[in-house]
Amino acid sequence: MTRRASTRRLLSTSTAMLACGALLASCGLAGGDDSGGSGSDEVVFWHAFTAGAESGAIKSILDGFGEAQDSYTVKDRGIGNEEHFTVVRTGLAGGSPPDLVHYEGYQQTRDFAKAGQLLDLTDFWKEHEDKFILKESAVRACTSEGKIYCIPYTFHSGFQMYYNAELLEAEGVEPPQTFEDFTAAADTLKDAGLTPVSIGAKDGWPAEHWWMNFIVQRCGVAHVYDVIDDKGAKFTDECFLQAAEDLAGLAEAGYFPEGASSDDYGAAISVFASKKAGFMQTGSWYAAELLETPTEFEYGIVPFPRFEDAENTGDITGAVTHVFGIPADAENPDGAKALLEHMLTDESTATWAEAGLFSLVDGAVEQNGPEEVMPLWDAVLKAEASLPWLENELPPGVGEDAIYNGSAALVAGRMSPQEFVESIQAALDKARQGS
Amino acid sequence: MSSNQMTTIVPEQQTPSPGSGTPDRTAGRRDGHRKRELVAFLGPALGFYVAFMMVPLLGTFLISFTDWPGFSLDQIDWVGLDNFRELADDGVFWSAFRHNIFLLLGAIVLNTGLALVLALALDQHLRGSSFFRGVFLMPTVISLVVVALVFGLGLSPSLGFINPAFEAVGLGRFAGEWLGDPDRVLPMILLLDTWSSFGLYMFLLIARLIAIPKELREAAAIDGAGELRTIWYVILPLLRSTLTMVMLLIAINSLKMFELVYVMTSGGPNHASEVIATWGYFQGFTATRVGYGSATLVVLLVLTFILATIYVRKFRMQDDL
Repeated sequence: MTRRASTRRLLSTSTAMLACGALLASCGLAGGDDSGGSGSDEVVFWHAFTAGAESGAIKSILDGFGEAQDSYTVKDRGIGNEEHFTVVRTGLAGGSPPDLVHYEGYQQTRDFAKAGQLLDLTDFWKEHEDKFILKESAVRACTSEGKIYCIPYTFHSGFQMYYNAELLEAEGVEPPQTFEDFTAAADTLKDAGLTPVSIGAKDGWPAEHWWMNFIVQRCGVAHVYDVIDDKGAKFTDECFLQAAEDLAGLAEAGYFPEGASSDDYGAAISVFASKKAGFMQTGSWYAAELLETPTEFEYGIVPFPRFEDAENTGDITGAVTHVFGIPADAENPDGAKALLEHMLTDESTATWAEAGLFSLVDGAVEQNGPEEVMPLWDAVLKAEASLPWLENELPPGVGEDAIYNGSAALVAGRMSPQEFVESIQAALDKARQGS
Repeated sequence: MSSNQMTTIVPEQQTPSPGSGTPDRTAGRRDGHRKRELVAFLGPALGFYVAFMMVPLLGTFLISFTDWPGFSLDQIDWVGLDNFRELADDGVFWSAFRHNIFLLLGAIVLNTGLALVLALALDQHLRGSSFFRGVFLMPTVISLVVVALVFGLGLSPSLGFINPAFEAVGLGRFAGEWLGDPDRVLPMILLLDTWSSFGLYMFLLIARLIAIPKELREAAAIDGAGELRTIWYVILPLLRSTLTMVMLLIAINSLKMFELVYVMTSGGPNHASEVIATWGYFQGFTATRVGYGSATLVVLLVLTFILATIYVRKFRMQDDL
C-alpha cells in the first residue's frame, strides 16, 4: 500500500470514527435503553405513531402480538414525526438500529437501501403480496433497484377538502362539486367577512399539497413522473406553471388568511376547528383525527373540486405513507418478521382501519372503516393514478427547500408562478449534478 | 506611586524545621498527592468535555471535508475543500450570513443599551429596585424554545394576541403579518432575542456597578458633578471593560442563534430569517448532506471561535489588571 493510500485510509477511518462519535453525541443515542439492539426474544420497534388515532391503534396491535404468541416481546419507541427521520437515519448509521423500523418509503427506501441499511424483503413481499391492493403504489414506495426493502402499510389520500357545513349553510353555500363552485363559495364567505380557506404554509407542505392537487389535474401523474424520472419533462413545463398560477390566483383573490405563510399546520387546524374558516384542504389522516377529536360543528368532506376544463380527471394525490423495514444490522430479524406477519393479520388490519386509517390490505377498510372516511377511500379506489407527496420522490434540496419555501411564498403572494417553477427546476438540476 | 500601581506581597519562603523529614521527599509526596487530586477532580469533567465537546467538534471539522449523506459510514467520501467552494457560491448561505450580522449588530446595540440603562437605573436603589431586578431577569431563565412557541403563537395574525392588542390601543395600522413578512421577521426575532437575554447582561453590569467604590461618586458630587456627569465621567469609564465583555458575549450568543429561528420560522418565509446555524442544520439533517452541513457549521464555529478568543484575552487582561 502506498503512503498516500495509507494516509487516505487513516483519514477515512478516523473520520468515520469521529463521525460516529459526533452523531451519537449530538443525538444522544450512545447507549440508553431506547437504542436499538435486542435480546433474541425481544423485538425493538421504532415508529412515529405518537399521537392521534395511530397511537391507540398501534398499541392495540402490539398488545395483540403479545397475546398471540410467547416467543417474542416488543419494545417499541415512539418518536415525534419531525425528528423521526433524523433519529432513524442516525440509529442506522451509528450501528444501533431497531429490529423493525417505520419510515415513509420512496426516496428514503432508495437512500437506506443504497447504504446497505435494509434487509431485502422481496421474498417476504412475494409471500404476502396477494393480500394487498394498490400494488403499484405500494411497490414503488418500497423498491430500490428491483428489490423490495419494506412492507407498505397505510395509504393517505390528499385529494379532498374539509368544510364547515354549518358555516356554509348559514351563508347559503352548497358544498362545491367543481373548482368553479369552490371559488364562488369562497367569494361568498369572503364577502361575509369570513376566512374562506384555512391554511398553515409555514411548514411548506400544506401549500405544496394545494399545488399538487392542481398538478394532477393540469399535468397528470404520468407527466410528473416524467420529470421525476428525468424523461425529458421539466417543472418549467406549461402545465406546472398553470398549476402555480392557479395557486397564486387563490392568494390574489384573498381566500387565504393573513397568517397563511407564518402559521403552521396546527394553527390552520385551530382556525378551522374554531369556526373561523369555511374550508381546509389536508390529508385523509385528518378524517381519522376528527373521529377521535370531533369538531363542535358539523363538518363535511368533498373530493378536491376539479376544474371544468381540467385535462386529467382521473388522477388524485395520495401516497403510501407508512412502510416497515428491517435494518440490515437488526439483532432479531426473525422476531421483526414475526411482528410484521402479525401486523398483516385480519385482526391487526381491522384495528388499523377502524381507527380511520387506510390499510393497504385488501378488504380491511371496506369491512372495518368508519363511514366518515369511506367516501375518501372510494375515491382512492376509483382513481386512475395517484401522485405521492413530491418531497418523498425528490431530493430534499428540491422537495423540502425549493418546493416547500416556494409554495409558501406563492401563497403569501411574494413569488411569481414563473419564479416558483424556475426555482424548483434549478434545484432539481443542481441536485442531479451533485448525485 | 501612581494610583494604578499595585504592590504584590510575596510570602517568605519557609525553611523546613529540623526533624520534619527530607524536604525533597516531602515536596515530592505533596506534588504527587496534588496531581492525584487534580486528576480526581478534573478527570471526570475533562472526560465529558472531550467526549461530548471535542470529539463532536473534531468530527464535524473532519466531516466538513467529506461528501456524506449520513446513512452509512461506508459512504464517507473525501472531497477536500469542495464543500467550502460550494458555500462561496451558495446564495442562501450568504443571505444567512448577512442575517447573522444584522442580528449580531442589532443585539449588541439593543441588549447593551437596554442592559446599561436599566442597570444604571436600578443602581440608584430606588423603591422597587429589587423587584424589578427579578422581573427583568425572569425572561433569561425561560427556555428559548418556550419563548419561541409562545411568541410564535402570539404573533400569529389568525390566532395571536399581538394584533388584537395593537388594535385595542388604537395602533391597528401596525398590526399584520409579523413572522410571515420578510421585512418584519428579522427585527421581530431580534426583539425577542433581546427580550429573552438582556436581563443577564444587566446583572453583569449591576455586579460591576456594586463594586465601584462609593467614595468615587462622593468625590464627584463634592466636585459639583451632577448625576449625568458622574455617570459619563466616572461610572462609564469604570464599566468599559465589563461593557466590552458583555458585548462580546452578546455577539457570541447572537452568532449561535438557533432555537428562536428554528421554532418560530424554520428560517422562512423563503429563507428571509435563515441563519447559518439553521441552514447548516437543514443541510445536515434534512437534506442528508452531512458534509456540506458540517462545512456550514464550521464557518460558524470559526466566527464564534474568533470572538471567543477575543473574549478570553480580554478577560485575562482584566485579571492581570
